[in-house]
Amino acid sequence: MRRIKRNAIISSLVAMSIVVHSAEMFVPSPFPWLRFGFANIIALTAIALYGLRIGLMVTILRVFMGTILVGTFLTPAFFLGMGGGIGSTLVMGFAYRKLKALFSLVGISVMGAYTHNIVQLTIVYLLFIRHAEVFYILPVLLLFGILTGILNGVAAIYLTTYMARFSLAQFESIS
Amino acid sequence: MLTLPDKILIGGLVIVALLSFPAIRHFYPEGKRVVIELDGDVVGDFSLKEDRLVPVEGKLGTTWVKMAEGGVRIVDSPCPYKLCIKSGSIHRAGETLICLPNRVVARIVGVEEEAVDAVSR
Repeated sequence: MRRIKRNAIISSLVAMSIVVHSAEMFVPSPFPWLRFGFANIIALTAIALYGLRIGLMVTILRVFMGTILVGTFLTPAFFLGMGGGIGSTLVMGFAYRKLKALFSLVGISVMGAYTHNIVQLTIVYLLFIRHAEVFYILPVLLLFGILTGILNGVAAIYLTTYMARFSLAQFESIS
Repeated sequence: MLTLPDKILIGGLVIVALLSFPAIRHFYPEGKRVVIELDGDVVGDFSLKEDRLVPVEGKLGTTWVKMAEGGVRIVDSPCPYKLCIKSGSIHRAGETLICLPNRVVARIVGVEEEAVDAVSR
């Protein structure tokens, strides 16, 4: 029974993050490589409510299924999403575990966004474009990442309080 | 909603991001030469030190590439949207100007040029 509940939670979180991630394509951005990373809201919520392991699982499944749905599976977009997602989820998970008393979800989300950008740019450099010039873009990404990190963190605070009120909260102990 | 450590963290990261602008600039010197390609073939290779105006005969007509003050820009091109002209002036190694309709690419390169620009998929 516990297993079924756990799977139900993971499935609904994965479904939410795929929807949020796809919906993001309709949000206008001045540059195609500047994205808000709204799926991070779900990853952070998963970490805050159910722990790092479920957060990590949600992120990995989201990247797999999301890229299969939009047809970018095993393309650069897939590796970037996977690397950035796993990196930021790990950082946010450990930060939440160890530094929960100090930082709110906003601070943890900003850490995640920063990590996401650095990891993605490193992957671009290591796997795809072996020119140091790719790091030109780093300052812009870092600044923008702080902004999106704050936005996502605030959203995650609302989402966690909202979700905690509903039935999923009763499974809180299982992670 | 924000705790004090949150604010310190965000402030610190903003400062790091702002400092990385000049830091990045410091690590990457200005480009040395400009390579002009037509339909994928290199048709010109010029030093950025001298000012000059180069005509490139493409599919649609002549694209004029201008080198001045250590930068490159396209001043006139027969393409419909003039995106290459609107791209303005480029200065740094790795930057490119592209006129897709006329198949003209002007690329700034550093001291050495690698054989492969990018591998994807």
